[in-house]
Amino acid sequence: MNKQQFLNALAEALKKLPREERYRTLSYYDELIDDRIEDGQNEYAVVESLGSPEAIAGDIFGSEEAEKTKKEYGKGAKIWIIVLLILGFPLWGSLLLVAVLLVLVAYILLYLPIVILGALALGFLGASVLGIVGTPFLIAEIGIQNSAGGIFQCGSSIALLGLSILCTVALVYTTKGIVRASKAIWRGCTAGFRKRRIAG
Amino acid sequence: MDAQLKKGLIEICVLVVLKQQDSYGYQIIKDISDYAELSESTLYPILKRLEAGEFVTTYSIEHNSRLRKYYHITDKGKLRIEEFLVEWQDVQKVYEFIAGSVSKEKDGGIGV
Repeated sequence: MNKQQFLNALAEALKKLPREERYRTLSYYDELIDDRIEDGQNEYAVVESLGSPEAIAGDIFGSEEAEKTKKEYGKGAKIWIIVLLILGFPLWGSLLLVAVLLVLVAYILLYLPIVILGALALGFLGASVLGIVGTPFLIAEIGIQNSAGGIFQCGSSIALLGLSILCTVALVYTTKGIVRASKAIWRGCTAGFRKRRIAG
Repeated sequence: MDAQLKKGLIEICVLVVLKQQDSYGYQIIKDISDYAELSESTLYPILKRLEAGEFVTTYSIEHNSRLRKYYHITDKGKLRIEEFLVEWQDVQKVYEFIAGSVSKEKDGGIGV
């Protein structure tokens, strides 16, 4: 094993240590190996004399005995955790279901304004197109002398078109805002997990 | 030698080495190895404990384009050496008691 392989293996064996502590340990061995090589010793022989990275990590984590009891405890605890998970399923299963549904409801509520604004914009657009296209037919129907009604319809239809455009503009802005908000919520929900993963 | 006793003794040895001048890991091992067998893995927790207990402080110096961590003894560290010398007088008394009992046994053995 050369120095780099040794340090990699040691880093792997010390995974459970906090990052800063691990870094200190690695730089200690890094420095010592370099010093001994500089003193004329062979890199492989130096690494060999240090002993296995696992043994060094074991010393650092505490006496071997402590680790043994930890391992035994770990095995027993794992089985108990599995048993409890199975037995507790009716409880945590339904709680999980409720949590998932709550999140789902929150998202639906969040996206509801988009649906409403979209429906309004489409509705107004449809009504105005129908009104404008229908105006000549209406005038033809009621006669050119009574065209005031037809012109009124045309005017209202143009007003509806305006409303439709306003709704579309509002829709664009709310969509942007809601997408941003839902991203922020997602980040907030997953932040806890991510932090734990880094610490681990 | 008993591991715990050795650890305690080497702790003081490290402080004595550092009292002469600031030093780094490999040099400390070389200085002490004339008196007591000392491996890198034994020294590491000792240095860590001394640093945590503020018996030494550390600083880094660049050497051949890499960093070397130097250890410097604090006043608290120097005081620890003095304390050890006082404590050791008690150890000496216990040693004499133990050694005395063993030699008495031997004397008795010859007598019978």
